Amino acid sequence: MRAALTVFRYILLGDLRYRSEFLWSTLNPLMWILPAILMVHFGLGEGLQSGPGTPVNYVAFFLTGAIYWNYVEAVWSLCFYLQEAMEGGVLEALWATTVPRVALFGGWSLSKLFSVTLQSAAGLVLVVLAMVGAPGQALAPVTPVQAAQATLAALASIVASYGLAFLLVGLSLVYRDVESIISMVGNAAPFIGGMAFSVTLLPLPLQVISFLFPFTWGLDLFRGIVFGSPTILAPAGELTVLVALSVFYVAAGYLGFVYMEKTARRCGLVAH
Amino acid sequence: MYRIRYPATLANLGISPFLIVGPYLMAARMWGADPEFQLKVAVGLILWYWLSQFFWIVGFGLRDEMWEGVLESLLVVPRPLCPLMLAKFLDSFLVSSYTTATMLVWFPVFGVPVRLLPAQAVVLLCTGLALGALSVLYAGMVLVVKRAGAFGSATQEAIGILSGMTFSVSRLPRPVQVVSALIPLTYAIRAMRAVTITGSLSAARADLAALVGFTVVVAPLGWYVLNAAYARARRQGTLGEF
Repeated sequence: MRAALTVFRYILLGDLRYRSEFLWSTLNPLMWILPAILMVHFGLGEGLQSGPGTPVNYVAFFLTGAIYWNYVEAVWSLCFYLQEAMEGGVLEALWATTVPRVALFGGWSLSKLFSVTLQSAAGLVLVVLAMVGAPGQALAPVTPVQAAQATLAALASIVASYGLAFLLVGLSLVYRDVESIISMVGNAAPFIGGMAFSVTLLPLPLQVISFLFPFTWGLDLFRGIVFGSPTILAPAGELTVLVALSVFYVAAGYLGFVYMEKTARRCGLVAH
Repeated sequence: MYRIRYPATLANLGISPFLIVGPYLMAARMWGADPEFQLKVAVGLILWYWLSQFFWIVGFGLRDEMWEGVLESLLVVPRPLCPLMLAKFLDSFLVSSYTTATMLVWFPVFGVPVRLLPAQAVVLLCTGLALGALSVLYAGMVLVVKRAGAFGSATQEAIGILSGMTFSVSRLPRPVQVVSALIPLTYAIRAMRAVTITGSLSAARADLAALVGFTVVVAPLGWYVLNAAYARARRQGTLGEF
């Protein structure tokens, strides 16, 4: 725990050293989704129309997707810290310390989750304002069971992200320059997971792939509970699929990481 | 050579751009966008991606070399800064053309219409020059502040929004339209939409003139800022480190 907190503090100090970078990064999640919000805002009646399948409150719909994805991405993108250490030539030294790998990953992801929470605060305020400010579109009352389901959906998605993160870290160790693969996964996931639209609009082969991603189920369930939007399966069924996929991803990801780390050490690749 | 050495980079460039712009197009489809609306959005997103490539390769590229520890060595050789920046500009142009071509392959799969015309090449050329000039300004900033990645991302998004990449800038409030008029991407998107829909270059004459005018004014300014930043970094001895 102390090691994880030390890594967290080290990253935080780096963020404070480059404050302008940190402050600008707080804008990015909102800036990313704003074009979609403005597209629908200005496009309604001029080429776009609301229908039975479209969410009533599109602002809250888009913002929720963006915030949800920020948290998921915060965890799996911890492999970027490994890439930075590799490019900076400090990875071997870091790997040779007695800090457990889990503590290292914990510290990296904790710092990212902390940043994302600060960055998402403005987005969360906007979601609430969008829900309260639009007449007849306020949040439906959520029962304790639904609140527990929504919380579990968000947590299971974050846990599943660790599985993907373990795998990407392992790949980085063995193949070094996997920035392209990481970037491809990072770009594919919001698209396949339906961050800004319903995955049922995707062509059938991509729908099948999207159903293998835990994030698809997590986001669909979360939106279903919070906005009352139609879900792919019944909430209980979606939660079961999500938890099962999360367990599978974490187990497979960790085993993959252990195997690839051993390979990297045996072949002397950590320093390259 | 680097891109050939790591073919995954080329594969990524062939897939990722569509994945980045795809959510906006699918969202438009969710709201029942007609083919012309989808085409307009697709044009805006493609050109915004051009801006992104120029920003990262020409503007932020210097930071990559700094991070890898080769910038100082590159800049102390008795060669002017010009060939290095020109090489980055050409790389951006080639990469942007490649990503555009691959996006055009992906679009029909997702029901987005594609219309190819020779006149579009003229618009792309003018766009590349104007965005290259703007990116040189950003490169100067990168040399000064070092870590300007988040600023670069936020600026790209802001420029995309102000240029109407997913809607028409005429729908923005009047004071915001004044700001939009200062951005080259606004003219590039408007010109490309006009050429794509009418099929004629004459429909975009005024916007193309604006793009050329922007290049003529901003290229020397960007060059001055970059050289000033370079001289400052040399004076302070910060070329090789953060």
